[in-house]
Amino acid sequence: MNKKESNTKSEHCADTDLIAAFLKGDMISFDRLVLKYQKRIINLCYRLLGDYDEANDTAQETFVKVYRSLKNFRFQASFSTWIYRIAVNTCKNKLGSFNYRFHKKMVRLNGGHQSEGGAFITQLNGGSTPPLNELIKKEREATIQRAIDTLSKHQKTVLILRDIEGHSYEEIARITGYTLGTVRSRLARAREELKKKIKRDM
Amino acid sequence: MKCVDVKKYLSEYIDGKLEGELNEQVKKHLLSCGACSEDLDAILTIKEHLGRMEEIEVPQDFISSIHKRIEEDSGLKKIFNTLFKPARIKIPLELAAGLTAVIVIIILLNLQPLFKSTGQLAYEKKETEILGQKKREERPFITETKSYDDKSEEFEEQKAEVKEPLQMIEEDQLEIAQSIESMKRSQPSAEPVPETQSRPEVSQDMEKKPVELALFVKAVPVDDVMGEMDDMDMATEGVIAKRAKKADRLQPSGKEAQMAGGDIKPNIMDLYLKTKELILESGGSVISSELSAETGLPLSVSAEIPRENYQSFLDKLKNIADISEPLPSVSFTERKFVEMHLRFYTEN
Repeated sequence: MNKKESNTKSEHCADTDLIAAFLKGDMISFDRLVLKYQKRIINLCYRLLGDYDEANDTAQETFVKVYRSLKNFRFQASFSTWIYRIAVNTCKNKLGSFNYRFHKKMVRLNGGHQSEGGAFITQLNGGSTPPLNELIKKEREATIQRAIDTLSKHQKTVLILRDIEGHSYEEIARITGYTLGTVRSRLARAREELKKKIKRDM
Repeated sequence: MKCVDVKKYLSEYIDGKLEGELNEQVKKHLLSCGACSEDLDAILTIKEHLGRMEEIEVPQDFISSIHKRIEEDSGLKKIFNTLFKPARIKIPLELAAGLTAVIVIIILLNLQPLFKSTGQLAYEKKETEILGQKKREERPFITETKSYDDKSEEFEEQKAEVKEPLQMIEEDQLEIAQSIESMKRSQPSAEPVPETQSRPEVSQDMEKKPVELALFVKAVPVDDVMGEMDDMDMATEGVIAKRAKKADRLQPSGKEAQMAGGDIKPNIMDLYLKTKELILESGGSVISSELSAETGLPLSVSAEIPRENYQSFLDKLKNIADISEPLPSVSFTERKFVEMHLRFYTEN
């Protein structure tokens, strides 16, 4: 998986060093942690919430929570698991809120993926008309994202953590708090659902 | 292995999570089943696409936005802490719980008399006091056995006693008026309570009666004995007037004295039954009856009479008993019923 950073022992040590330095008052260490995990977290939020602005807002919220809670961090646990857990829970809370569900319906009516934050799509080719294959790819991704949006929050969480973020079943269980059996069954159901929807749309 | 079972395991098979025998069975099935193979391909394609989804870029101001949020949070927290400064002293939880319980108990104890002094409870409390006093005194029935001479001596003492507590009674008026006000609110139909006396007449417990009767008298007596008559404060004053007048009248006749003793009981009961009959005839109803715990004879009866029949009821009542003067009259016109409290006395 090219997206997921492997949670090796060295990574874990690097994280705990940064945390220890931050707890001693070094703010730069906190910034280093943010730089290390920001892309992963914002993308996780984007896939879960399906909206760029919401993803940006939620990712920032996640790091603020990390900042406030680092004093309670147990050094035995993995920082990666910990920050993912915070991000997933923050996203799930938003997914469950009435305002969010209403917002999503409005975005769908507008044709999807439209935000004031500047869609990443236009950044790719400096403003000129993208080639056909790019457009096809974009259309396919939009279809997949629409299909993901229709899944339940539990199913999409497991699917994104496994097939987009590349976490193992055990890591997914640690992040979400689900049992391994639940992870397996929810992932199977999510893939089956996605297969049906994409087959219909493509 | 059947297709429906294989479908369940496809996801784990793709991820290499099936072990040993199960993995082999699924693999074998896929080799021979086109439908399940297609399903497998479809899931593999999705998985591949998901793995190659475009990543979104992090905004330029991401870290600075986080810093801003942290500062805003801290600022708010400082304000909050300044406004609601927590105590620096650490108190053990048990001590805090104990202190809270003690404070709550003290508050409840202080509020309890306040609740009891208003509303129905006040009425009941006074009624209990009266009954208690009555039981202690046992006047109506003790006096039955006394001779006339003893009674006159007692009367003189009582007459003197009447003057003494007049001042106390005035102080009681205010308290009782307040009780009446609260009872009025809870018992809107409470109305004048005249006294009734049976033949033969008996002296009353004057130093006690103003308080107890005051509870039941609400309306304005006809004669302005005590000056300005208000719908609220008349009760006690009317009673005092009665007291005074009764004192003058407490001269039982020889005949009545003869009737004392053994004839009292049937007469009281007889009067009680006749009174009840009269109440019902007048379209009213008996609210309650008070009986002596010792003898079982009636002490009083509370009833409500329709206003329009009240006067005729009084007239009929005069035929069967002596009613003390002045006769209470109804000053209110808006109430449909007149509530009355009739107390039975014998005098010898």
